[in-house]
Formats: sequence, C-alpha cells, structure tokens
Amino acid sequence: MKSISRYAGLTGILAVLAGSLAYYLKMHWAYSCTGWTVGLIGLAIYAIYNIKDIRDFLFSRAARYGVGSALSIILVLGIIIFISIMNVRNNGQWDVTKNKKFSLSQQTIQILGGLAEPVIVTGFFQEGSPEKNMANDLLTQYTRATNNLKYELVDPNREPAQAMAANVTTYGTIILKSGEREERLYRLSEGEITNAIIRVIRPHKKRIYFLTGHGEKDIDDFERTGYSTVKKILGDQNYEIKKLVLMQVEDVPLDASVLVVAGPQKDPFPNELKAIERYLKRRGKVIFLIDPKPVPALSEFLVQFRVKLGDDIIIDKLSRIFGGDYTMPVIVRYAPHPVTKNLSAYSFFPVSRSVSVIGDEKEGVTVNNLFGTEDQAWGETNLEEFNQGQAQYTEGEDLAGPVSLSVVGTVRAEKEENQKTQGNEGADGGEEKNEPRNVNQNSSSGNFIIFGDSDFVSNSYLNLQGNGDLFLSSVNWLAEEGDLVSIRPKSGKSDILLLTRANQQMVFWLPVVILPAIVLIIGVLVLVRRRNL
Amino acid sequence: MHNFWAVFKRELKVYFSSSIAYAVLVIFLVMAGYFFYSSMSLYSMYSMQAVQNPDLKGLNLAEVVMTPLFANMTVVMLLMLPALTMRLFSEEKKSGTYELLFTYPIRDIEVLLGKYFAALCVFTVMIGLTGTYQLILLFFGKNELGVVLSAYLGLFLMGASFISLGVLISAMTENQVVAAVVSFGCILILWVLGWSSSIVSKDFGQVLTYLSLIRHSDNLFRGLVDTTDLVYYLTFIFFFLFLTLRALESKRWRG
Repeated sequence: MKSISRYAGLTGILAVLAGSLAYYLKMHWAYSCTGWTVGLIGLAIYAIYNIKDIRDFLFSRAARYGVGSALSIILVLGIIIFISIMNVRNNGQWDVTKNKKFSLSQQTIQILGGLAEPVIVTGFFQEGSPEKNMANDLLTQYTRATNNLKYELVDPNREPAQAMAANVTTYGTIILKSGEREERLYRLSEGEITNAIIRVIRPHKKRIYFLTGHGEKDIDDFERTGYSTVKKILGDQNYEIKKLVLMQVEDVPLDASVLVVAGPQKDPFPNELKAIERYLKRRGKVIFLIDPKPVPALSEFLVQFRVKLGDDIIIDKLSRIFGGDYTMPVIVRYAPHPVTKNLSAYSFFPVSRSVSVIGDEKEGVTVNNLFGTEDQAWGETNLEEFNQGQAQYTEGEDLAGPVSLSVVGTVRAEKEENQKTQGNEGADGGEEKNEPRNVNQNSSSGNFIIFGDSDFVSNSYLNLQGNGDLFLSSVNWLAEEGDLVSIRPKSGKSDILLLTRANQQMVFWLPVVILPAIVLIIGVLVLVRRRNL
Repeated sequence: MHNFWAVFKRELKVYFSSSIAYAVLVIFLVMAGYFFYSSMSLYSMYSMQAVQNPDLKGLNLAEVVMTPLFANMTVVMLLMLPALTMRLFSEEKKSGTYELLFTYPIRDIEVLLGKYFAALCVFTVMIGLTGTYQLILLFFGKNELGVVLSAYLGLFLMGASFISLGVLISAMTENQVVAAVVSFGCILILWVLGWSSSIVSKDFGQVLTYLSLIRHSDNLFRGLVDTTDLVYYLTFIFFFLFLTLRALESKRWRG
C-alpha cells in the first residue's frame, strides 16, 4: 500500500497543478474543482500511509536548515528587489562618447528648465523599429532633464483607435501637446523636438500672411502649382495662415509675423509696395518668391534694398546629373547663415531667375547672398533663344556663373509713432489688448529673403530633397528671429577610415590568426611540459 | 584570506594546465578576431562611399565596428563561458575531492570566491587579449577611449554575471555536461527575457526588460554609463553567489 500511496501522492500534486492551470485559464469551474478534489484525495492518501516519514522529515534537522536557508534566500531576494526598484528610479548617467551622443545640448536643457506647463509628447512608431528605439533614447533624456515633460510611444498598429483619433497617417509622427496647443513633427532630432517645444508652449500662434490679388500662388489650391501642402506643413508647425488682400487695406496687419509674396504674375500697386516698405521698416519680415516674369515695379522697388532681380532664366548643367533639367538649377552649397547653416540636402528650383546684390554699401540696409549655383550655370537673358529650346552663354549679355538665386537682407527699423514697447510682451490669455501691438516689435530689425522662383514651394516640388527644409527654415528664422534655437545635429561629420590592401591584411592576420596562434602555442607547450614531467 | 588565495591559485593552475582554458581562449579569439576584421572591412567600404558622396553623414567607428563587435563577443561568451564554469564544482564531486574540501578548516565562502575569481581571471585574460584590436585602431588613429572603456566594463560585468550563474549550476550537479548545458540554458533564458516585453502588458514588460541580461549592456557598449546597469550586474552577481553559498551549505546538513 505504501508504494501505491507514492503514486497517489504524485498524482495528487499533478492534479492540483492541473486544477490551478484550469482556474488560471478561466476554464469551466468543473475542471478546476475536479482537479483540486482529486489532488487533495491523492495527497491525503499519501499522507495517511506515510505519516511517520512525513513527521520525521518535517522535524528533522535537514528540514530546519532547509527552511532557514529558504527564508534567508527570500529575505535577500526581497532586499535585492528593493535595491533594484531604487536603482531604476534614481540613476545617474555619464556620457563618455566623443560626440556626446547621449546628452542634450545646453540650449535644450535651459529651455526644459524653464517649462512652466507640462508638455506631453506622443510618438507613433512601429514596435521594434530602430526609429522607435532612437525616439525612446532621445525622449528619456528629455524626461530626465525636467519633470514637466512626459512621453509615450504608441504603435499605431496596436492602437489604431488612438492613431486615428490623433489623425496620424505616417509612422514616425510625433505630437507635442501643451494645454490646448499642438505641434506635429515628422522628423526625429533634438533640434526639431526642442524647437517644437518652444512653439507649443508659446501662448499665441504666429500668423503668416500670403499676399493675393496679383496671380500669386494659392494656398488653397491642391493642384500641382498650388500651395496647399506648404499651408498644411506650416499649420503643423503651429503657424496660422491667412491671405492678405493688401489692395483693400491700408497697411500690412500688425499681427503679421511674416508676409509671403509667392510668385506674383503682375506688379503690385504702388500703394501696396509702399505698405510693404513701411512693414519692413517696422521690423516686418517678408519672403519674396519671384518667378522669371517681368515685374518692373517690384524690381524697381527692390533696388532700394540693393537687390537686382535678373531679367533672365538660369540654365544649369549640373542638374542633369541629378535627373533634372537644364532649367532647374540645383543648389549644393549654402551660406553659413542661420537660415541655411543646418541644411544639408540639395534643393531644386524649376525655372528661376537670378537674384543678386548690387550697389555699394548703404545706410540702413544690409544684404547678402544666401546661395547660388555652381560655376557651370549662367543667367540667360535672351528669352527668344530660350523659348526655341536653344540657349548658349553669351559673354557680355548673360550673367556668368556662379549665379546667385537668393538673398537675405536686413532693413533698419524706423521709430514708430506709437511706441509701446515695455510690458506688453507675452500678452496673456490670448486676448488682444485694446491697442493692437506690432507682433514683431521685439525684433532688432526688419528682414527679407528673396528667391528667384516660387515653384520650388508648390505642391509638386515642395517635397523634393531639400526644398521643404529650405522654405521652412526661412519661415522659422524670420518668424522666430528672437526665439531662435539652432542645435547642431550630433552626428555631423563622418569618421573616415580607408584601409589599404596592406592594412586589410594586417587587420586580418593579427587578430584572426596570430593572436590565437600565440595562445595555442603557449597552451601546447604547457601541456607537453606537463606530460613530460 | 590566506585560504582564498590558496584556492584561487590552485584553480588558476588547474585551468592553465588543462586544455579547457586554451581551447576556450583560442576559439573565442578566432571568432572575435574575425568579427573585428569583417566589421573593419565593412567600415572601410562605407568610408569609401562617404568620400564619394558627401551627403552620407554620421559614419561613426563606434557604431559600425565597436558596438556590433561587443555584441558578437557576448554571443560567443554565451557559448564559451559555461564550458569554463562547468568544472568548478562538478569535477570535485565526481573525483571525490569535494567532501575532502569541506573537511578542511576552510570556509565555504573562501572556496567559492577562490573558484569564482579564478574563472573570472581566465575570462579577463580572454577579453583582455581582444584589447589588441584597440591597439590596431590606435595605430590608425581612430580610437574613442571613453566608449572603449565603457564597452569593456559592460563586457566584463556581463561575463562576471554569466560566471556567477555557471558557478551556481556547477555546485548543484556532479555532471559537468549537465552543468554546462543547464548554465547555457539559464543564461539564454535570461538573455531573451527582454524580447517578449513587447507582447506582454506594459508593466510586466518593463520588469522583464529589467531582468534581461543583455539589455543592460546596450548602453555601456555605446558609451553611456548608467548606474542602473552597473547596479543590476552587481546585484545579479551577488545574488547568484549568495545562492551558491546556500547550495554549498546545504550539502553539509543534507547528510
């Protein structure tokens, strides 16, 4: 009976486990109940026939030691768990990399330190993707710098409802929220995130006006030549976009952070040009995108700022290499100006005119080239030849390469009649005070950026290589001239290492053959020695 | 203390006068060396592309060569270290010297630490020899000292953890092969624990990730020294050595 009782006991244990499993898996209660009952019966049978052995074991020295040992293990485990929890909560980090890859820049830390309201960051990444890990790494650094930033990484595949509610259509979308304001990013970098934080905590949206009435590009046009895409992207960056019919109002509105003149086909009226001039002189910011069509009044207007709009079309042979056309100049280098210094991708300008700096230095105006073509381009002035499809560089007539395509300039501010500077910055609650103020009043001067083409921002060309970045950077720089944060990307330069044939041989032989061989020989020697002893 | 040294020296002598240490070292060095060579060739190829195409940015030696090299070395360690630790206690039990050892006026902890540090020493030699790769890089003028040191620290702590686990398993069985296989299995389980973190609930997933052995070396291999990882490895080693001590002790009263 005793031997059978052993089997009963074993069956009993298995039955209890099975019953517990059934319970855990939420199967029908009959299963778990049967299991436990059978189990208890089995164990009881075992117990009855082995009671003496059991008692001996329980009270033996081995049992006492065993229990004591188990208790000490549990105690130590408990301490370790406690330490581990403490460990995770408070940890210190040292970044020992050369590029300081894992530390946030000083500017970011400062901005994070000044956060008054909480900022919530939600990143929509696919689980397990390298982008998700990068986002995690980067955002943890942000949370370590401040308690006012929290982040969450959501897989849009796992949480489709959340993704749809937030209107997320691409992987890699990052949404920042503060209060009721929202910013969206599609690219992951410290600079982008920090700038987005700056924008999202700003109580007011900055307004960008697009001039209309002269055949300019239309921000509500979804066709190839429309500007609807750039309107959306600017909206994502927390700008408010509006149209401006300057002919109907006296002045450029005071709440205009930036005015964009996008591809006018006719000249603006003289009073409009005067209004723009006044706007610039009260620290306004203007972007001119002027196609190679004759706009004599506008050209004349810009002469006072030392800018010449060429009456030409730029022919660039370099763009052929990139699959473009002779009439689409490609820009490969940019000036080290805040607008362009972080740009790396090339940009393409379909059918552009030259925009150059002329004249001597002038009081109240400074202007510089922003970028231009390479040497093999030129500005073709003979439009008949061009329209026939043949154009050649004509010495003396055409503008020799490298041809400037864009300039950036400063206009000194003139004193305004109503000087309301102190105490009105950062208006509270979004309400306008009874005296509307100039939104740009904290800037040091007026600024303008002029491009010789407006199509590079249109729906069909905006997403081509660096075009989008270039325009966005221009807008951001003009709009935020005071708040600018430019954070250099960490992994800037490449660390080149070219191995010659000889080097490669060494890199193979030394680690793979010679080193192990040395160890092998030592081993063999030692073992042979031992054998001979 | 004196006993500790005696055990330590003896174990070291046994390691280096038997073929096991050499076999492990040679195999490890061949594999690590090959990984080094192939990532260097790859890096050279990337460099050539980067020279022709200045758009390619962010080519970084640490990322392309070092981090994968160390990751690969940990895989090889996974295979090789159980082979090192399997004999620590199992051999003694098989050859009957185990009981003899415990009749000596020597404390359990001295025996344990002596054996543990001997295995650790062999392991240190093993990864120390890979330091020659760093010398090669130094020769080319491309060395990032901070990352190298933190990566080796990670490697060392991870190996020390593997060994502490191996010692425990070895103390629980007299069969060396069983010890090696079970050690390998346990390390592997702890290794992959982090992988399932994406499919279980969030909190549970975080616990699993914390327990995973290799997650804690990720940062160290890249040059980020985080106390979380350091404390993790130290508590890991402590815990398993503690368990081993209990296991040894239990032999006494098991009778």
